[in-house]
Amino acid sequence: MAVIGGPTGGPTGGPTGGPTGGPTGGPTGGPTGGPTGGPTGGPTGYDTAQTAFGLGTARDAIVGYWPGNTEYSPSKPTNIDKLEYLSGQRRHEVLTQELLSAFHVTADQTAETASVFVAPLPTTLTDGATSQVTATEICKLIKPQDTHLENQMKWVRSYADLRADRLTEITEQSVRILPYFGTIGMLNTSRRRATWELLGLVQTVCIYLEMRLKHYTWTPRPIDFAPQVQPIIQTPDHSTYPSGHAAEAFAIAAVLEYFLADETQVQVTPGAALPMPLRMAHRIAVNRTVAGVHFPVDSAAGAMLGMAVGNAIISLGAGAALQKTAFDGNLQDGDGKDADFTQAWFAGNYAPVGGPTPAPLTLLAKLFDRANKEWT
Amino acid sequence: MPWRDWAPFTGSPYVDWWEETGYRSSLNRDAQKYNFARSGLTFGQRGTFADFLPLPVEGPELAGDPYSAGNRDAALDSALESIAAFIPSDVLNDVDGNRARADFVSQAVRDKLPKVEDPETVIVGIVDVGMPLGHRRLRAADGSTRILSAWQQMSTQPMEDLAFGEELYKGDIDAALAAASGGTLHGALDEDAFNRATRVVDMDNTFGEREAARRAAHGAHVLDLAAGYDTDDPEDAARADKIKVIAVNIPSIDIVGNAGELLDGFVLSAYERILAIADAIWEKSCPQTSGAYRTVINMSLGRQAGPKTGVDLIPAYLRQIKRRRGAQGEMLNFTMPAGNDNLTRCNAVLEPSAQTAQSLNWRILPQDGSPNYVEVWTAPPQGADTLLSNPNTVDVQLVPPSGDPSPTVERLEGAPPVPFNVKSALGNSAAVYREVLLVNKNGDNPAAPFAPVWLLRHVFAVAPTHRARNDLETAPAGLWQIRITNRTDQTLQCQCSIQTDQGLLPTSGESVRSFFDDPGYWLYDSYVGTGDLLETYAYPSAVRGQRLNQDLRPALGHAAPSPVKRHGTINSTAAHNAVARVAGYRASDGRPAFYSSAGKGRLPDARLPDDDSGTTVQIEPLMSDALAPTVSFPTEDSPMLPGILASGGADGSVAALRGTSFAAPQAARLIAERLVDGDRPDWSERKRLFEEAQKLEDGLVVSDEVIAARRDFLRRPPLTDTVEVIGGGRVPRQGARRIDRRGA
Repeated sequence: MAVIGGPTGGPTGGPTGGPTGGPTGGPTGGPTGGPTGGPTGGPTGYDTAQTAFGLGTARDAIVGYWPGNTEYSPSKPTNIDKLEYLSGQRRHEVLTQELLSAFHVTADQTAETASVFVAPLPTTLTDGATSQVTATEICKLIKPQDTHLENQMKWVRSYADLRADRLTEITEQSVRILPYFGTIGMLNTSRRRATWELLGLVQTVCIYLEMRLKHYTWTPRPIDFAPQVQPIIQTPDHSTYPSGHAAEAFAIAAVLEYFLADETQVQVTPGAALPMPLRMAHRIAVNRTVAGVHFPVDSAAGAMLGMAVGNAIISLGAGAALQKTAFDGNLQDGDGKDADFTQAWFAGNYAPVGGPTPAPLTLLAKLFDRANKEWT
Repeated sequence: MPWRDWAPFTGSPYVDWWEETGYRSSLNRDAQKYNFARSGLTFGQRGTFADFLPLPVEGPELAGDPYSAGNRDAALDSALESIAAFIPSDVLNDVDGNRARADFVSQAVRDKLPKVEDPETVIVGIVDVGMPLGHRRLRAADGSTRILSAWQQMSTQPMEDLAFGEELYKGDIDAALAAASGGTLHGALDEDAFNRATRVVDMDNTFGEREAARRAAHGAHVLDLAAGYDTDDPEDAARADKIKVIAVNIPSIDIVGNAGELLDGFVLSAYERILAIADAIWEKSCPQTSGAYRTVINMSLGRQAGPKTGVDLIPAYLRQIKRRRGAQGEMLNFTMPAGNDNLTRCNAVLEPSAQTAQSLNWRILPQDGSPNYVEVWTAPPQGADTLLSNPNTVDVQLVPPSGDPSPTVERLEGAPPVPFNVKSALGNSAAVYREVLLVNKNGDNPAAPFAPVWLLRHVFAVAPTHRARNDLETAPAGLWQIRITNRTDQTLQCQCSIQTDQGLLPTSGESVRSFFDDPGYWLYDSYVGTGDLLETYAYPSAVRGQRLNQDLRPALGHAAPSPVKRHGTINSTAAHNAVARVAGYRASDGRPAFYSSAGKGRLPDARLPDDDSGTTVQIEPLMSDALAPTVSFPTEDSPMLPGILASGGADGSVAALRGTSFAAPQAARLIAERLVDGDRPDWSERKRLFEEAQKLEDGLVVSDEVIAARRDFLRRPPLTDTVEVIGGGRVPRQGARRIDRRGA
């Protein structure tokens, strides 16, 4: 990664990085690979036998006799809260662990529901001690029954007519969605480096949470119902419900809107147009139905999950109240038809319930501080 | 399987073919009310009127003649009635127990219509597909729509007092705009919600309308070019205030048919409705004043094969309505595209000399999921008596890739008089239809004397070469052949056109267009070995600074020019003088757009250079002047990128689309703006466009068809090169500056 990370880390991080590659490819590829690729990529990389051999022969030539004595007092990071000494990828891993430690996914197999809780542990724990932690449910999803999905197939059919028009977006968004939000607010790895890292973190955390939720609420894909679906991308191996793309896109949108609108909760008014990041998130979600790999109901559930996770990350990083969402995959709209996932539907159904304000996470709060300064 | 003997048939060849071969039912949509239930209206219309009843024609009244003005009006009324009569009851809106015609405007509808109190207002009517109704460029400065009404013919929620579909009025559209914009006409528009609420986009039905949900929408582009204004610009806002729109969204190909089989009925209803609504608004707004708003109607649609002689239902209707309106002193203007088939090898002119036969190869491709059709029109020198007693004088046969040719008409002999309409079929895989029609040769020219002439129409129908259902017969792909035997003692001229053939679904590859595969037609330049696409005229210029007409130039190794022509590909629906036929040219160098229909390619009594040696060849004029475009507008404005810019599917977006569909609305816009300015409201659309072209062509002698080389207006002085001009000349681009990528 170090050697090729410079020029190619940004663009190639997404597709090659697996679950964490997308969000981390950008932050690490840019800052470490580009301007500092020479000094950091070389000495810290040791990626090739040729380099290693050269460094070895150079040492042999100049080090002279060395019995093992020390000459330096090592410099250390000055504060446990500061992560700047780490590469972007390492920072990402540290922060991901911190955030995931505050989230919990549970399932009720008989009721076919799954929930996400926020329950941040104290930073300092004592071995064997009992810690009292208040868990707050932030999202509850009920899986749809097959009969409901069969009704939803008509939407998959209708949206298929838009495939040729959206081919580029669909294939691109199969591997990365963050650049699409970079068209809404200025996002890059220099002026908005902390924000960029934060949004990448949001996506990563979402992926881990949604994958466990998908596992608990496993639901068949459109292709499982009819051979005529013929998606234009390969159907993923995991559950259709909830849509991961919807969850990630809406979570990113919620956090981006926090910076754009300077409000701790996204303002959604029925009948009014959604804020632009949410319109983009909606587009990304619907593209998956156009592609033939998701039902609208998946996107609806993913959107509710994403909003809850995005809001929770704002809560844990900026000290705001948690917002709970819920979605029943079997719900129908008012006139008895199976709901399509439209912007108007989202505006009319996104009604989060406020919860407590959790204690902020130390490292995440620092990242929020840095990101906030990028928008002032 | 042998060909069946000739036998009479009734109805349209297209209808007969659909019914006989099961193609209609093979679409497997009969159970869906939304789709073909409403199609009955055009089956009826074409079946009982246009195809096998003699057509109404213009001309001096003849005593006791069935084609007198009164009888023509009655015949047209009968056609309109038949449209209403064929609307199935489950989608019909009964009005007092009667089926509503498109021109019926009930009191309930009148109550909803907006007022337009300025009698100088110009109405721009637009008949298209996928027109979104919320774009800012179609809204006034206060955010309210400038669309007075929009008939959504494809809506599945038929409304009371309307023949079919659903009609929205300015008040409805403004309410929907407000509802989808947070209660204000200026808010950000949730277009998905708005387009669904206004029936422009239908995701509820399997074959619902989707055009406006796409990045580039045909109707959005046309609507903007015809009547879009930026009302932030005070000058534009003032003009926009005087130009109002009446829109009709007709159904997409899915309903209209691969070959546009059902187009005419929807279009005719649309024209009727636009005029009826405009009149009703006038009566409501200007009750003290007789008259009507000045009106221009653009329709950027059409079918490729047809009579192209000015004789068909649409031209008959347009001439008649103009005549009626003319009595009121009001001028109606109609614009249509010239067509985009210039290089598709779908057009040929066979001219067998006396007592000879001539053949034409027709290549039908494999994996083609839709039927293929060719229409052959000819005017035999003999009259009806000969045709009906001795049909053998003109014999037309269809030859499959393997197997026997269709029977000659000699088989009809022995039982004269021969029925007007006969057919012979090869199982369910192919059929030949032969019709005898009496028309007025001078139908397009009201000043000319009535000149009855008998036309022979042949329609060749071939089944799809691929079908999903294996219980339906397919036709073999490969080289079919059309053979025409002329047993008269004069040269016969036969206009051959392959019918429109489009996919039923967006971007569907199920329909593959067939073509005339003649070895003498060269696609690419092998004369000088450049390999360039051979357009209508030689490029760069040939000897003596002239652009040679490629249609008159034999390919190397061939003695005569190919019968397959670039010239003559005019959109059949527009091939008459009741409309302006608008072609496209490239703004970069002034040449015709390669796809644009380029005219007749022949002038009466002309001798044209046939090669570089300077010799000339005598050519007979083609049947109809209406084969030539009227004028051309820019449809390409970048040397590298295709098309011109105008609105995309979403408000504020811009898409580049190419085609003469986007030339015609520029003409409509120009006419509307001139009318707003009070500039010669008495001029016909064609007269006005000729005059406009003359401004640019700098002294060009205006005519319907100019094929000689003309000075290149972009390259003077010095006059070192020439450029060919199609139609009466070129007219500069119209519309907002942004349609020109050069920013000029």
